[in-house]
Amino acid sequence: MNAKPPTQKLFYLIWLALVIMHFLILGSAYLNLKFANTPIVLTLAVFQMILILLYFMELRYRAKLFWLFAAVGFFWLALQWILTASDYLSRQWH
Amino acid sequence: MNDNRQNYLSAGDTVGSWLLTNDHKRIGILFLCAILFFFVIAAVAAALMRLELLTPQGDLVLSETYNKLFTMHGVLMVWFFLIPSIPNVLGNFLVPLMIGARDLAFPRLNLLSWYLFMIGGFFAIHAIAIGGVDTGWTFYTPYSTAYSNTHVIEMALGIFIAGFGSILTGLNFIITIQKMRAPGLTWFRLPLFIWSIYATSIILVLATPVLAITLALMILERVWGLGIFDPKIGGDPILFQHLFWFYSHPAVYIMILPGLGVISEIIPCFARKKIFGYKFIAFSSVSIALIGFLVWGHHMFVSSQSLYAGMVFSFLSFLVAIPSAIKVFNWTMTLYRGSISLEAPMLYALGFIGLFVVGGLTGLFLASLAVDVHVHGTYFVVAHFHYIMVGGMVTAFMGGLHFWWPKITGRKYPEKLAQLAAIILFIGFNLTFFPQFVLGYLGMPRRVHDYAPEFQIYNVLSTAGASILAIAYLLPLIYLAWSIRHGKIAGPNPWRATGLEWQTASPPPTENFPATPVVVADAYEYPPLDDHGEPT
Amino acid sequence: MTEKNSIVAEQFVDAAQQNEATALGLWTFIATEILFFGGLFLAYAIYRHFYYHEFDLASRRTDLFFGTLNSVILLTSSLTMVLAVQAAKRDQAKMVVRFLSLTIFLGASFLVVKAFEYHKDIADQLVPGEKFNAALPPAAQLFFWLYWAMTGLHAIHILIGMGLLSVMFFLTRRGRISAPHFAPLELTGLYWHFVDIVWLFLYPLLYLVNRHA
Repeated sequence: MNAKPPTQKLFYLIWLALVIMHFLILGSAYLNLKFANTPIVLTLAVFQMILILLYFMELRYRAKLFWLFAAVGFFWLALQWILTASDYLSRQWH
Repeated sequence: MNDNRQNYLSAGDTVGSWLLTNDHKRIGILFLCAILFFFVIAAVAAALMRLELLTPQGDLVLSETYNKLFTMHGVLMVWFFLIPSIPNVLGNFLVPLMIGARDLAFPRLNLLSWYLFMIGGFFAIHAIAIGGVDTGWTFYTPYSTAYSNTHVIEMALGIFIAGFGSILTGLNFIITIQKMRAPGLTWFRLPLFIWSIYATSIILVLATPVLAITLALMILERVWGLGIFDPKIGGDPILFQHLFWFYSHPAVYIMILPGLGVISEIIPCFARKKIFGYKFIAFSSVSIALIGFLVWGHHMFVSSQSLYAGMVFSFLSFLVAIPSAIKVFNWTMTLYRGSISLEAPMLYALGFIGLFVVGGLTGLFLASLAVDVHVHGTYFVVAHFHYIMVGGMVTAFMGGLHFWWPKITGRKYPEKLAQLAAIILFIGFNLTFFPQFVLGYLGMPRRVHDYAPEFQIYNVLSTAGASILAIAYLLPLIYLAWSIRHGKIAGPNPWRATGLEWQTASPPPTENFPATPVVVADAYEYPPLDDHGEPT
Repeated sequence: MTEKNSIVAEQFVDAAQQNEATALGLWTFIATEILFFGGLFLAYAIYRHFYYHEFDLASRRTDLFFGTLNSVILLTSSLTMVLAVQAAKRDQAKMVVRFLSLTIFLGASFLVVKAFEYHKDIADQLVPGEKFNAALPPAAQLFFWLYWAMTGLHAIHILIGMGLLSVMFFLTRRGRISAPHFAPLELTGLYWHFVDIVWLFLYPLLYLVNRHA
């Protein structure tokens, strides 16, 4: 990746965004949004993760190969979860 | 040694120079010695089991002892012999040589892998010595967590620690192959053994951590007295199986992919012919690594797993057979109209193809839901996986050991004796394990030491075969050891094989190559054969 | 490129290959850690699906103040870690030491807060087993078993991270971390950020199942 190199200011801004998102997560938990509570909270957490991956862990400035290695773990987790769910969601276990 | 130059064997002969080495070739030898040790112990357990099974009554050992024997056999063979065998012995030795590198990416991590393996092995052996484990190598809950009174924790700890060595090995290979190939060595010029090691390493790196957490959860539940697999607080014992087999099914591909890679090296050399369908074989290795992660539920068809999940897993299990079949077709096409010579490596490779096909096809039997209901938990399963793991992987390991023995030691082994051993192996193996297909189909359960009298004849045949198989393994042990001092000196390339590893001395110098090689040709560029199948 | 080969290990062709290989190696290791923690998250997801009500009740017993405080501590420690690496790139060893010290301090604070939190959890009888809080249903023990296992595993990773940070601290003091050679610091940073990311998911899943009823 040939993006501009990060500045000190950028890192402080990212930190600020992370903390703000954190309190958004906390705040949203107090609102009764029914089924939307969990997706909202997890989506915000994913945004936090992406900010850290891209900027703190400097993926943004690395070759695509690094993005692949970073994504692989999550992709494999998805495979594990989907197939395991195929069992639990189709039997009267509980 | 051959000449006055130093090689990796002569560079330092103190114990310290071996135990503190960073040289991938020496570490490969350290692993060879270690896995041999564990193999012998596990083989003795198997011998005792087969002796017990000569008679229908349980009269040689107690039931509890028998349970410990098959557990010990499984744990040691899977984690302390098969999984490290080709990757940590041949892979360690050959990967840098085959890609023209000086060593692996992380030599000290490589040594750490060996120490983690040995520490894990120590705990496993100690657990056996102070009384053993009776849960089976699969550690199913709730027996392992709540009811077994044996040394489950220590054994699981040993496997856990050894598993980290596995992960580091896979990591090392991936980075080495990704980043340290010689100039000109593009992905599609790599030897297929490297492709198979890369695919194996993907599995090592992504599956083993799941084993680690699963064992940790089991240990924690056992220590704590309750846990997430415990129905008393609402847990599901089958969750353990999901987590366990998510690792353990891909693990069986760790236990065959490297063998498939070895065969892809041997066949072109002894047919004097370029491999047929290089890209298909390369991609099939990666496909097996990927699809292999999607089929674990076929171990759980009768566990109370949902029928619908069972159908999904059954279908996916049929899919995973396809890339393996592609390899077999391509090897066959390579042999067709080749100039074939039958030295020991080739005999092992040909034996491999026959045994692997039987093992693979019977896997399809097991992948069929209805058939599996009948043969799950019987000797049919035992026969299936021994055909693949022993008939396949161990045979490939023997073939690879013989093929690269001159490179590793600088010596040739006695060829006639080796050919004899290969043939004895084929005979002994089939006699041992084919009757077990019949036994399973007729209904004899696995993991039992007494059985209905009508099964005796097949058990006797199997035990007789096992004694022949033992000879087939003892012979190479003896003559390979003998050849280290007394074998004929081999030159750099006694087989006239292609591949960078054959372009350097036998044994190689510590730094592998005097100068970094530059690759300009594809792999397996054997000279074309004329209409009579002779080299032109 | 550096002329002094003492910094480039002999199996590598040059410093660029070494840097790429070691960074890629650490990303591979992070992938293994994702699968390692993933098993716990999978168990959590399954049991939360089937025992939502029990998870709801159980989650309200976690200490939101300690959890939130620890989140802010950890996020800040990631910032100080990044700033340490940036200082190393600019060859400012003193700043590296300063930011590393801050990161270590914040990591230690995390563990101290956790110790207080665990102490309180034990006093509230939130340890599954015979002494488990009788006001909670039996399946709430599934939640708390996972709570202890996941936060415990995470804390072990923080401890390991503190060890790595300490090693980096001493290496920097000895002049072994500098502009051409800061890869160990960078890799430590990657590990530390990963451990932070895990916490970012633990927090909502353990502390915020249902805070609005």
